[in-house]
Amino acid sequence: MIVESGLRAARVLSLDGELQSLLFRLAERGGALVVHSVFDHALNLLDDTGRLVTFASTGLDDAPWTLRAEAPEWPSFPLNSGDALRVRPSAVVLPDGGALVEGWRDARLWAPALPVADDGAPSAELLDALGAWLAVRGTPGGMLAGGSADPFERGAATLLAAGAKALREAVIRDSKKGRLESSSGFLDAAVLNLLGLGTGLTPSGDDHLTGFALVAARPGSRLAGFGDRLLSVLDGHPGRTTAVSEATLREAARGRARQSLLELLAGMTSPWSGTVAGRLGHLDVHLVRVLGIGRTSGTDILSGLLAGLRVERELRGSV
Amino acid sequence: MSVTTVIKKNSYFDSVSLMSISTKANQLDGVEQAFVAMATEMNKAVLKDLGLLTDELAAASTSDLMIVVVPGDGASGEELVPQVEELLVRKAPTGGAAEISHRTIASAVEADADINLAVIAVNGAYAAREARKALDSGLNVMMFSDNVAVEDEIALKNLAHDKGLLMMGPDCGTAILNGVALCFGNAVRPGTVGIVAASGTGSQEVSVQVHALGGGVSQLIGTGGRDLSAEVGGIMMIDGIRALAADPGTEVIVLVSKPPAAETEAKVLAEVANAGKPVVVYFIGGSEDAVVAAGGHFAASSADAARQAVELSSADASAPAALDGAQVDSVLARLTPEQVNVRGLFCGGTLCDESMYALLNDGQEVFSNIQKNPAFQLGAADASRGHTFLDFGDDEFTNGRPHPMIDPSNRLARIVEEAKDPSVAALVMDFVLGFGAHEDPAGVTLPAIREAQRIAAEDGRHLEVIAYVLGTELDTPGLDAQRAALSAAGVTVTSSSTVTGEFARAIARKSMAQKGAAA
Repeated sequence: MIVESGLRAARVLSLDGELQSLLFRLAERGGALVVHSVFDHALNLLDDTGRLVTFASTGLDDAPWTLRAEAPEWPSFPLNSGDALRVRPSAVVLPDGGALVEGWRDARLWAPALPVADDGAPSAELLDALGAWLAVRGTPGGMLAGGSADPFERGAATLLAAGAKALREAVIRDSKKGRLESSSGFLDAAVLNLLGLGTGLTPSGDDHLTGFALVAARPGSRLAGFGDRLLSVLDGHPGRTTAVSEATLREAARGRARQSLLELLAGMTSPWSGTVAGRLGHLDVHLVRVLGIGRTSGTDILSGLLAGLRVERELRGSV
Repeated sequence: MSVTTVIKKNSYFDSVSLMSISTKANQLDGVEQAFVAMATEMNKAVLKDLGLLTDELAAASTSDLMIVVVPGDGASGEELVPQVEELLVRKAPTGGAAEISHRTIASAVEADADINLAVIAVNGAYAAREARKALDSGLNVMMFSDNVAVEDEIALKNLAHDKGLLMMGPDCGTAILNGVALCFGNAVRPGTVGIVAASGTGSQEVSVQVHALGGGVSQLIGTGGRDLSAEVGGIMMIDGIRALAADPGTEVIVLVSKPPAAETEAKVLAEVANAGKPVVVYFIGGSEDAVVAAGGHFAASSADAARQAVELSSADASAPAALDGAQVDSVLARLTPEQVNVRGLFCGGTLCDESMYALLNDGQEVFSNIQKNPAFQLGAADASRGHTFLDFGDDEFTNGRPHPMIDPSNRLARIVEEAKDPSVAALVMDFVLGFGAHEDPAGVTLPAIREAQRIAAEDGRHLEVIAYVLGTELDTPGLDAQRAALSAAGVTVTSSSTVTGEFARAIARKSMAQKGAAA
């Protein structure tokens, strides 16, 4: 099918099963998705409940509420913020009547698979090695911006470091008292001090929380309950961060995250009988892929994953 | 301290762009400090700590973009803010003039009349349209994109021919033009050997072997893998031969291709006689008689093509490396009687082809995803059988994923899997360097190789791993470092694609010997 602008509709390669269900519902009632923001490789759309969904190009990995399509850069389509894209049984349609993407009904379905916490706790040695790896290979600018010459980055880095420390202490404190699920002034304040902190579309503080929440969401985690606390803070303080970042956080609290993160977490927590160096070598592909997310997002998420795993290890040791 | 601020309502930029814009804004003349960030409460708190939070910023919402400029002495914030806003409009990446980005071919041509080449790497569905625009603008085209209809390819190549332009591709991953390597091209010495190739890694291999022998490359023109099909008829290869024939910097021409269609091969060879220069022809599986009859120099292998090219040019040629028989004997001595099969796991299609043909021409049965014989074809999901050679760059393996030369990780699991098969004597694999290739292909693969070696050792077997690194010491990473990393892990590193095939063939002969003994 050729859209009126002369561009060919992009074929859908894969999509989150929950997104497909939403598309079915919208197609049934002639509903639409409204353009929120257009990037080279990601087109963000809102449904009528305010849920953010993403049409990604093939270079990005599968992720919650995301559809991957054989698309060129999305700005090459005639798309503007606020445009309504009708959802049809065979395609999602541009305002000019041409198809933007097609084949969503028959594309491969993706569902996130989060490893369980009992699969094997990473050793303290491995966590230390990963921390050292991150310090060397991570992208400076967010959680690693301590030495930056940019006053804003430096100021943000100070708050990020304080926020991460406060988060860790609050989680340990509340966990030991057995009330991670219930309201805690310390934990809520720690989350709020990280929410929306950083320059990007997914600020560094949020990325750190995403990594932490993902660790906590694993079945059997010692941090169970953190996700509910995070959702409660988000519900109670709307507008503290960007819509894209809030959507990512909400999904992470449910244990849903992009495929590369899930693969890394599975690799970090699976049983291993070899050396730490060998383990790092095996993880290298996954680590590098995660570092490639955004500008500093990968580094910031990884810092959150490590923080969560360290706290979890500390709590296991305290029992 | 004066502060100038602008709020962009409901403006969204990805993180990479925002950081890049922020960095460039701080480098503008007259700027003491500049910040570009989303107006979240915590970011406003940072600005407050810095004494920069104005009432306007305080009132901004999370979906707004804040631009904050602190001008230096004598500078005006009102004059600087438009410059920062211009960065937002351009979303310019870091770097100098060479990295200016244009959204369309037309705007690029309009901005710089000296542009004479377009590299097109958009989705195949849109590539032909963009290529036509480029040709109509007087640009030569290198089309990296694949999945372009053959009808479009023929039309584009005829259009380029009529305009006296090059139409390289579709699916053209390698070129070196006037000393500039494009896409997967390698860093090789400039010289007098011109290459026209319908095979990406084949042309890379010939160019690096020319370099290794002391020669250099004048031009490397890619045609796209389908150019020598019956449908396309070698339009680009014939134009390429003519271009190199007319190039005063080219003394010898080398033609490289996977097995071409017979009628197209005849058309191309007819052009060889008119070149007025020596032409070395390396068509995998091609006919020596036909090449010699056309006045060309037949090459039996990529190494042979490079050797002949350097010898026919005015460069001083060093001796090519040959297969080390003692090394082969040493490997064979370490294998158990059951270990008879060779498994080739390749990123480069032509490298896979060359090794596979080394066995096929020896009378071996070889299973592969690029086998022409349907009885021996394997799919990506199929388990290996006997001697198996897989090209991980083939469409079935790359669907939705980067080419393995960019991301070799889709081969890792297979390396470990093959090690579990007690009939496997050796794994043969390639590591391709080049400007567009992975930054450390050996480093990414070594953990899987070690795991494979461990599995075999626990089963009481030695698993031989034979690796060829395609590249030069001028590439990044360098050839020597990649070879050293592999050698340190106990991998046998070969000197060329041709020697790799010979090594694989020598090990595979063990299976024939056993069959013979059994008979």
